[in-house]
Amino acid sequence: MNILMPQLGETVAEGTVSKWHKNIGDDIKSGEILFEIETDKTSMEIPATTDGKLTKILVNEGETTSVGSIVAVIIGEGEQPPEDDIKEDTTSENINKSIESSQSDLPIKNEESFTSKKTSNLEIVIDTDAPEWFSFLNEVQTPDDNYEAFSSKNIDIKFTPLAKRLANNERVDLIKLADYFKKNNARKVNRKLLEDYISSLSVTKARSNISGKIDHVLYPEKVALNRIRRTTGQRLSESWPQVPQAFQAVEVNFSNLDKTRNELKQKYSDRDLKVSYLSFVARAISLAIKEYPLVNSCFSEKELHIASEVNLAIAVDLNYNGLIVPVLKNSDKMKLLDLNENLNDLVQRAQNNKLKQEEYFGGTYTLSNNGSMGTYMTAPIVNPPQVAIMSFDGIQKRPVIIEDSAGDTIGIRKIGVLGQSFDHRAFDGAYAASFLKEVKSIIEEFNWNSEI
Amino acid sequence: MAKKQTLKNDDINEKKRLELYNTQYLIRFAEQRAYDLFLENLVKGTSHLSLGQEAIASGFANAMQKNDKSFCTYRGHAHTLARGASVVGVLGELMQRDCGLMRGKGGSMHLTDTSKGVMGSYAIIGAHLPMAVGSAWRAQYLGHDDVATVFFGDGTTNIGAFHEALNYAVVYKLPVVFVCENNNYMEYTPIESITAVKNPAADRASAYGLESIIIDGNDADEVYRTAQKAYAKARAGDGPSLIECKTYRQSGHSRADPGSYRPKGELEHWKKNNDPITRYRERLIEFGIKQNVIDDIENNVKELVDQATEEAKNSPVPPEDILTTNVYANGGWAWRN
Amino acid sequence: MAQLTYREAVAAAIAQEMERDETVAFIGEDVAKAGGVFKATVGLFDKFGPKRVIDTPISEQAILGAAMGAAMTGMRPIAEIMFSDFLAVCWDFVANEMSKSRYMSDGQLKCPLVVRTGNGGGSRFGAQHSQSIENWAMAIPGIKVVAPSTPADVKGLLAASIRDNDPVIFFEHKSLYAIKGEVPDGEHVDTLGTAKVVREGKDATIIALALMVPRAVAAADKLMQEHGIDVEVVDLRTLVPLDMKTISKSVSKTGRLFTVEENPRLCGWGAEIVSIVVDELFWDLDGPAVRITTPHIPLPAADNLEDIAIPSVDRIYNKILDVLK
Repeated sequence: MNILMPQLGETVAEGTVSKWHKNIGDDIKSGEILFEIETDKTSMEIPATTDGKLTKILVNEGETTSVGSIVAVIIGEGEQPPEDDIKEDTTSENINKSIESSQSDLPIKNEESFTSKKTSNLEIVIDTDAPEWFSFLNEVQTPDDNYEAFSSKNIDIKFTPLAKRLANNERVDLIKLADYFKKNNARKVNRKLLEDYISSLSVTKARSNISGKIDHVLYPEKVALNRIRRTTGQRLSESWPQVPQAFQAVEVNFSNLDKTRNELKQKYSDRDLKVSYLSFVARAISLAIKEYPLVNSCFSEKELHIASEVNLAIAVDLNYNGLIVPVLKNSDKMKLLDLNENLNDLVQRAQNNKLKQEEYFGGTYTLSNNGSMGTYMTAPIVNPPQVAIMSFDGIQKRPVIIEDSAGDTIGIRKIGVLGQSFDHRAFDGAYAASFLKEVKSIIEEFNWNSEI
Repeated sequence: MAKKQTLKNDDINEKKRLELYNTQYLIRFAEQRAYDLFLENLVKGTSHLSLGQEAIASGFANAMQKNDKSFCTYRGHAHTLARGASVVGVLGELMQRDCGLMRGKGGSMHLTDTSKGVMGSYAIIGAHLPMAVGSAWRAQYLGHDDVATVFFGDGTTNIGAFHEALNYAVVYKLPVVFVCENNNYMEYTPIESITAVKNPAADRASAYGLESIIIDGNDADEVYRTAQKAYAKARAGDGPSLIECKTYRQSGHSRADPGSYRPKGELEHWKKNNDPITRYRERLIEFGIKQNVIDDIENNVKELVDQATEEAKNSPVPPEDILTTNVYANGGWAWRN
Repeated sequence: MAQLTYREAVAAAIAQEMERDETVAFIGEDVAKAGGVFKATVGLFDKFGPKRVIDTPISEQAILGAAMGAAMTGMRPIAEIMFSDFLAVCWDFVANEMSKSRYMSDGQLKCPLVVRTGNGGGSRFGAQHSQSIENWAMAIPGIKVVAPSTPADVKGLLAASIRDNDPVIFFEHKSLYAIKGEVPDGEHVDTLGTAKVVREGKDATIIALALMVPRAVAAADKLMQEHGIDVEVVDLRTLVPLDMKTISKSVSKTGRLFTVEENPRLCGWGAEIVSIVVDELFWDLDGPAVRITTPHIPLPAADNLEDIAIPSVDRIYNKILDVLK
């Protein structure tokens, strides 16, 4: 058994052994004084609590050690020397054994096991509806939004927190706002001033009136919008009124791709390789952009700024809990198999919340895959500052007219619709349609075997 | 001191005598075990032992009814065990384990077992005296027959709540028994040096219209008989009693205190000549109880305490999720919505 | 509906609960035969008798201790501490005993009691009989703290406090005892932990308690009349449990927060509210959150001095006007 330096005095952390009453090799009886200690407050004799032989003294007279450390070792008969901090082997006896005596009932008998003690009857009277997030270390819920990021360091006017938040929501150009207020000699912006400024820009508010009256009887159930959805909502709200969007679609024959897909399957049967239709579409878009660079650009008032990279942003649904659009950088530099691998990896990581910081930014063209839901066609909403976005919907076997030298026949082919929404200020329908046509012909006619 | 008794004129029957001994011995052995566990660093924080004061706890507890309520101070292990609380629960609470009476949330100074009538142990000197008075008020008010007993030390007789409680209990004739365990020392200071009267409790009884009662607190029989009288008086509606029990504290005030303020030889004298357990064992033999019966009691106690020690040692620490439970009656702690 | 004074509402609530539950009894100094020094418990002794309405000695510790011992063992007592300043004499029972025994015993001990007390200034009683100390009580974990401002709230919240299974400190305001108000007929039981918007508005929120509520409303009316500033006033009614939902709703609507507190400046209850708002509702604040309080001094006895110390309608009006402009 390890003999420890006891905690003498509630705030004492150390003790000094002032005298040993026994020597190594001595036989010890429980209750005999073993040693004396001194703390900064008091001194005391310490008895042994067990029988045995004193085999080790680890702290000598005059030496100081911290409370709880081992000062000596006593080995009882048949006992194994203890290793440093391991407690003695204690096996619990039959704890429900009733204690009998030759006399009749004694008051303390039939000791019941005290394991799994429950607290006594709680009177469950819920008179406070604590918020569901209320817990230890979380008594107040600090908001996780941070509108600080929206402030520019070059602005030298002050905002109230509310004005900052509203300015962020309204995507107000801070530099312009600062100029406006400085001209009017206002150095502090509150809600009223901000709202006056915004209405002076006569920007149509697409935001719905949040404080409008809602019939709670007709709409009793509330669903809180998570942060992703709120942010998405904000972006889409500003896109809708600001970007004049047009939509065009083509039907694409995917049957030729199947040959390549099957060859790939066979060639890489050991790897169980699957190249999705989406990867082919992504590759086709990347190739087509070379011929039609204007779709891969960004619009600002007077000019179209053409991107130097092709960074495909892929829309990923998070189990109905929001939409994120991670970016596959330099997708044009990837051939089909690489593109397929990187795309799958990106989507999977997006779904498991394992994206890298840089993968959230820098998209130049967006691809939205709605095919898994079986839709025929989707008119997506342009994601500014990008100028175009493509939706790829379900592929289905359909009857088609096949024209060849023998005349027209009906065949069965895999057909899917590719639809593109675009910013009509950037280019016109003819250009956009040509781009779509290019994507279609690449999918249908490109020598895909050259990629594998 | 009572006249020497024999089996022939024994008003305390053999069964009760064995219970009185069993309780004292259990307290002694369990408290010594608590001390050992402290030296092994298994009992943490602070702890106040009742070694030497077992007869008072045993005498009163064995005179109580099951539904009587008791209130005691932070030196309350004895009073908690004496009312039948489980040893595992007590040792477990001292060792801050989940099997403790309060799952480690109260600690040594606040032992509570309402199922046994132990309505808490209290660390603020004097606070529990008016509480016992309140329990007695409730008994009188609702027509219950239980009595409240409140245990406190000699030092308590100088604090305001002592005086308020006594006056209140006498004015309303409440069924409460005030028991002062005079062990001669208020913490580290001899009680006489800081009290205006010699017998800190008994000499104040007349100030409240109460009888001055001083007894040998180390004679469990005398304690038991005095307790019976006080309970009978209370249950008859005749009001409270104040009883001063002379005893001696064989351990320091708390674990941290080696008791070096005692005059040399004082502790040895009490241990040798006036130890309640030694005296009662001798009395049992005088009354013709066989040694093997006494040995059985002692062995059963040892076994019980050993088993309880093992079980408590093997009990886990309290789970973290009880940190914020039972602040309010709804089991929770929320202060806002 | 009946018109009752604030003090009549106290007696009415106690009577209502004592009729309903025989374990409810009431103790305090001069509460029985005299009907209380503030005449807040007139009629109870005649109706329920000396067993249930008890005059005690001047023994604050015994009063609270006895109430606690009775509550622990099966009664639902009401204890009066005449002036809230005197709670300091028996503060051990509030701070260490009734608030902690449930927790320390892990649920074995209970304490369903109510401590009623006369709180606040404005009655020229001097420093030791005039302080508002509900903020001291707010700082103790394990109890509930109530401070009504109207007779209806007195009746409803006192009844709710008596029925509550936790220890409740019920702060009645001495200077409100004489005010009259509509109180619903029949059994009236309110809910602890619910604040009320007593004046709707949109330009700023005032959170107030007890005597400060009617003053805040008067100041708000004046601000509307003279400057078209439309201020919302929230009567907190309970400090613990705290109705953050109502506070949040109001502050996120108006964007401006003022508290009007009778406590001395440091650590008044408003400090905690402002702290929570500046944390949780930071992005809704359109300007600094401002506390209007009694200065950090003992209260003087002279009436003109006391009136300057405790926030007055004009002081509230001027401060808000100053800050909002």
